[in-house]
Amino acid sequence: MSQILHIFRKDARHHWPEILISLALLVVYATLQPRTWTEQHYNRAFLDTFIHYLPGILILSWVFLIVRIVQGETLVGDRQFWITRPYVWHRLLAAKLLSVFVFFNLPLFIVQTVLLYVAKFPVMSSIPGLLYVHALFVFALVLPSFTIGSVTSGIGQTALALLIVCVVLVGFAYLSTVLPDSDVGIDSPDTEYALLYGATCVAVILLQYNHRRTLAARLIIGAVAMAMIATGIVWPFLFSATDTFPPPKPNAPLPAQFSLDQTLTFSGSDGEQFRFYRDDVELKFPIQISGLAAKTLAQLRAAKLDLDLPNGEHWTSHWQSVYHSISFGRTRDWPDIKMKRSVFDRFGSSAVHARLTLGFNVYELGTTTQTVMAADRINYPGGGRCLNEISRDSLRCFSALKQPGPLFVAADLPNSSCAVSKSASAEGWSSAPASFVEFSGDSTPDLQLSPINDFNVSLTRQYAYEDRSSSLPICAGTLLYISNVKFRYPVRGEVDLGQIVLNHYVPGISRKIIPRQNEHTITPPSDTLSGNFLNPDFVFLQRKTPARATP
Amino acid sequence: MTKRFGRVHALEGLSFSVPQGTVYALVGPNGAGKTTLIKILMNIFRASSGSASILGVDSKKISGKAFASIGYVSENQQLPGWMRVGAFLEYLRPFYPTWDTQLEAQLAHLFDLQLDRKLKQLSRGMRMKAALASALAFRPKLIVLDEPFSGLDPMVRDELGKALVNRSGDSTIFLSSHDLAEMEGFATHVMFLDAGRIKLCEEMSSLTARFREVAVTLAAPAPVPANLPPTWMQVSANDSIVRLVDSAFDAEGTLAELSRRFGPVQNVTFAPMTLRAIFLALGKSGKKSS
Repeated sequence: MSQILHIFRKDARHHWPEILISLALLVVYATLQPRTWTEQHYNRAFLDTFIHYLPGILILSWVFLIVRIVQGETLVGDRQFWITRPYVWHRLLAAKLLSVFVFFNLPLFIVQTVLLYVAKFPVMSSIPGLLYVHALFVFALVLPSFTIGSVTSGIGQTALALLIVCVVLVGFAYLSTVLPDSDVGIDSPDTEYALLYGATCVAVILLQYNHRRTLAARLIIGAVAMAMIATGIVWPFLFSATDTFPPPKPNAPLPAQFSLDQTLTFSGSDGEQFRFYRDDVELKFPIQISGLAAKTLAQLRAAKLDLDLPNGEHWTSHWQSVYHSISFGRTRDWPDIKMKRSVFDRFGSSAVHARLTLGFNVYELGTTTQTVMAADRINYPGGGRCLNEISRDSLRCFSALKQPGPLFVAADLPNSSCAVSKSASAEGWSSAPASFVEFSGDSTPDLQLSPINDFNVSLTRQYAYEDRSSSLPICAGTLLYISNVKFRYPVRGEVDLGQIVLNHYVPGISRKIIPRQNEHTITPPSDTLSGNFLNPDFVFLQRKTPARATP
Repeated sequence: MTKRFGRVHALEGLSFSVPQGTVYALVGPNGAGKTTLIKILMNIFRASSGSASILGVDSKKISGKAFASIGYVSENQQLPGWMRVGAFLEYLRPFYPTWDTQLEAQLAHLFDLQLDRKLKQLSRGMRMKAALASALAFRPKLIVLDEPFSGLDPMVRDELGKALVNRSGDSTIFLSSHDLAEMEGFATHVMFLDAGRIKLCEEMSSLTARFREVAVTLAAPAPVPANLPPTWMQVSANDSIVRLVDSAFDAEGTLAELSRRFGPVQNVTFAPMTLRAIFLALGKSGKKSS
């Protein structure tokens, strides 16, 4: 223990400038953070810019500090004085970890606790969550910094290593855009990746401290990185979204019926609207939705278009990523598909037989609670608080450590002075209620510097041909229905579009939709907000006795 | 022991032992493998094959506490430049149970160390002195020095030599150097390494006793005959004077052999050789000493 403390004291003396800088930045962060909750801006633009980049600067300062602490007794090379001194490797490692704990984890933990207290969130009950956040920080920040520090001999080498990491990540990100199906929510082996990454970092650190085999350690890192990249490349070919979204089964049916709304196309089939497309042309198909069960939500997560071309060839878009939420009351959605310009130019004006395959995640509404919006704030279930930002037609919500998990918020407005913007009322509302849907999130705290989770809840409602949405104001007295959302199953369904002309489904700049038949009628919007909100059909939302919101 | 770096054979078939309490000098030209050998002994490098035992411990296992008995200093060792000399010695103190603060003070005085100067501000020679002080102050059982005299002025070399001689007996000293004259002063054993192979390895007294520069004046000029004894090196004849280096000198035997090979001898001188002269002779002849 004495050797651990002895080395720790030496490191504290040696690295005081780095420690001081990171602590100073943390204090500045802690001081300024509460101002960001109220969006108080500074008169000087550079201060706002500084605040914006402060978390990034802070993280860089910690990476720098950790690397410097590790490199205080560099493990690379054969000329360091300490390698022929009576250093016990596990005590040296323990001393470095102690330094990281004292100069990174501890100050951050204290600052996070203070921020929770200032934001009036319960501190004691948040401590397990804070410890979990710190475990995430150790995994995501300390471990890679420690690993890089242990296989590099100086800041120059470290910078080079970080540059290589950045290049690999950028390359990997680029690959995901090129490879088919790689960005459509295929169940990528994230857990396996995380385990492999963690095991590699630990193995490299132990190898370096115990044996100082830098070449072997670097080879291990390179080999694991290559293996992960190779897996990332091969994975979409092994498991496509077709596997992720299985066909419907009796106990996992399609959430609704889907068909092409043949009454709608875009105007401009003379090609005028194609001029602003470069390499890819976007196609949007009006898909009619019917029979979406009450209390059911669907996330359209992937789409694939298959064409039988006039020359007998078959063309597929492969699976493409989509993020559309379909809540009860919706009658139409517009899945979009990108197509290579070269293919489109050849077949855009021809009649082709098309099939659209859609991949859904199906969710179910859980318990619904009602609460009435007070003058400017509201508490929501789970310990969060929201402020009404009238100028933005949204609630600005705060919660401790994590955003509430999958969530659905719908609203009913009393007759009030809440104003609906003219653009929103121009072409009629969808019958779906004004709502907010958040599918992501789980029960564990998020990896973030601030323990105060800051997010917006904006009630939007579809209008026009349900290809547009508008945020609606929330006023004092607004009745909010807040439901938790449970994931049930993934499923895919195919919509036979029949013989279509692709030109008709390319939105132009002016987005002129042609009702080709006169059957389509536009419901005029109600003049009052109360008429624009919750449809009486959705009585299932009105379960519990409304509770007055705590101001 | 063998060490290869790729296709390069840095050390080839080394086998030797260093008696306890001796001052063992490792000499040889640049690139001979001296530093590589020392780094293997200190477990900084791994031998490609073979093994070494240091103070009874396999060199592959030398680490941590084992270094509490070994003082190692190398000319190219990286010291923590940000530390002041005094703080450096103070920092190392708790690592060594046998650290002698009085000896530390003596060494600091001997080497004229300025304790308040940062190591990075010191000259190469002064840094070497600081490293030496830190490696000697805990009275190690084994002192391993790689080119310790490099960068030191003659006076300090002399002082260091004296310090090492004082330590010999209590400690075993294993050191490499180019400076053969310096070695001659206090080394008890010497090993000559060339191109990764041991050319010579023996006690200094026996080495200097068996090497002689021989100058022979013959009664009449004679050519250098073929098939001379393999222990004779650099044999040259100029008129009636023949010069050679005998690496197995024995006054009577050498004289008898000279007479047998060259005929009547008018005069002969046997001059003792310095270590430098011996190694020059060995190097030039390219012959392996017996």
